[in-house]
Amino acid sequence: MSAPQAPVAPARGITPALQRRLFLVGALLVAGGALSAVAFGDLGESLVYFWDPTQMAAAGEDAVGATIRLGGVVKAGSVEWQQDRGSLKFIVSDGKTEVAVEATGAPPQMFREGIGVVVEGTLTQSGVFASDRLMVKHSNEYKAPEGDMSADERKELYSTVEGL
Amino acid sequence: MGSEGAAADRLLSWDRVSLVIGLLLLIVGHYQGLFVAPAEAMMGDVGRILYVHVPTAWACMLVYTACFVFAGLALWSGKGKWDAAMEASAEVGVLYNALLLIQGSLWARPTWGVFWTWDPRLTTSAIVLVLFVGVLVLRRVITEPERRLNLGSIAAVLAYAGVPIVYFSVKWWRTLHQPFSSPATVSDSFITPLRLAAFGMIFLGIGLIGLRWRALRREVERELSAPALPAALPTLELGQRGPGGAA
Amino acid sequence: MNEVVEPVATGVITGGWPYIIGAYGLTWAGLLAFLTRAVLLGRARPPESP
Repeated sequence: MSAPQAPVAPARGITPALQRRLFLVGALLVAGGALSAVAFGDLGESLVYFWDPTQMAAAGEDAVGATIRLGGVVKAGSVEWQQDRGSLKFIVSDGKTEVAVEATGAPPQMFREGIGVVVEGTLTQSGVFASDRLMVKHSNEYKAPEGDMSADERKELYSTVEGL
Repeated sequence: MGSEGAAADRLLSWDRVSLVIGLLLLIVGHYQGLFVAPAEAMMGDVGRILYVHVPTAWACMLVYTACFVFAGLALWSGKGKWDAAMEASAEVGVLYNALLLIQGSLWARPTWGVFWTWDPRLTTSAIVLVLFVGVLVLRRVITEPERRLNLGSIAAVLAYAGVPIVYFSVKWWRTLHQPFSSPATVSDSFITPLRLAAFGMIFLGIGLIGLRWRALRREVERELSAPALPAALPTLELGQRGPGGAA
Repeated sequence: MNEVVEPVATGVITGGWPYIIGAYGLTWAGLLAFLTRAVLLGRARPPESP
């Protein structure tokens, strides 16, 4: 089986077998190190897929004009279709801060009040977030249509986008 | 497992059995998911993509984990059988991972509104796919069998570091992708087809790995046991004299 | 006067079968293609008898 080892082993300190095992240990250390760097490092701060309204508000003037993804819940009663402009106005909220959003284009079918959304666009000087890409967030709950959901169930369904 | 070449041609080998079980479970699971289970409350029929996407994701992670273990065994033992098993499972992992991204974007378009977005879950899944494609490419490029075992397995161990990152990405970072699904978050009427399809993908994956392993093992073991330096001639002769000779 | 239908969705997805068929179809196509390739490669070289 390990025939090639015999002639080489006495000559050198590191046999091919030992070398392979050292490679294994090294690779495991590097992989484990990379994994823990990602898990315990501060990478989370630099890997923000979207801002919540509070964070965007905190950025103040700096947020104006930059391309931003903003995520939150569509505030109940805030959805307004602007026929003349072909755009959709609504308020995105994280429970603390609210941002008025004007999105162009047809929204995904699942869009409605109370659902989590992520909008891509820019904050204008007027304080309205102009979005050209509206995405709807689905929770990890998969439910069969069993009559009407109660308000509580609905709230629970979208809890994943709250407390961001 | 320990059976030698002769067992390879038995009709009822473990990989064939697993393959058939996997295909049957997958067919039943998909049939139930598509035609028996109710539509999802909000996603409607589109929610049925659950039964193909989530099982693929679970199975993909298990296949990559197998690849990681085989890579470790290959480096530890230097044996061709583990080297071949590593390559076989990397291939199946890449297949599942690619299917996962295709299913995911076809599900994302009607639900989220976009085919793709650089969300952490999506981005990390794509990176892991590229890394394991890299492992396979590396193995094709290296012709020297011992170097191929060493470098291929090192690359696989390193690439595997991305798999837990994909898994935890929905927990560690904000994503558009939903967090973990579990029986607690999935309606009872969806669970049976989901389980059937998940076991289907897993058994099918085992079968596909076994099938590829058998083929790769013959080559890899022959190459590894061949005399190292210019003495490649005798094996070459042997190979050419073999039955048929037509490759 | 024509009623302008608001594109504001109802919150529930209707239809979408092309996506469903696409997801299942491509998955099965991929699996079967890989299986076929694996079987063909497995048969390509007759088992060596030393």
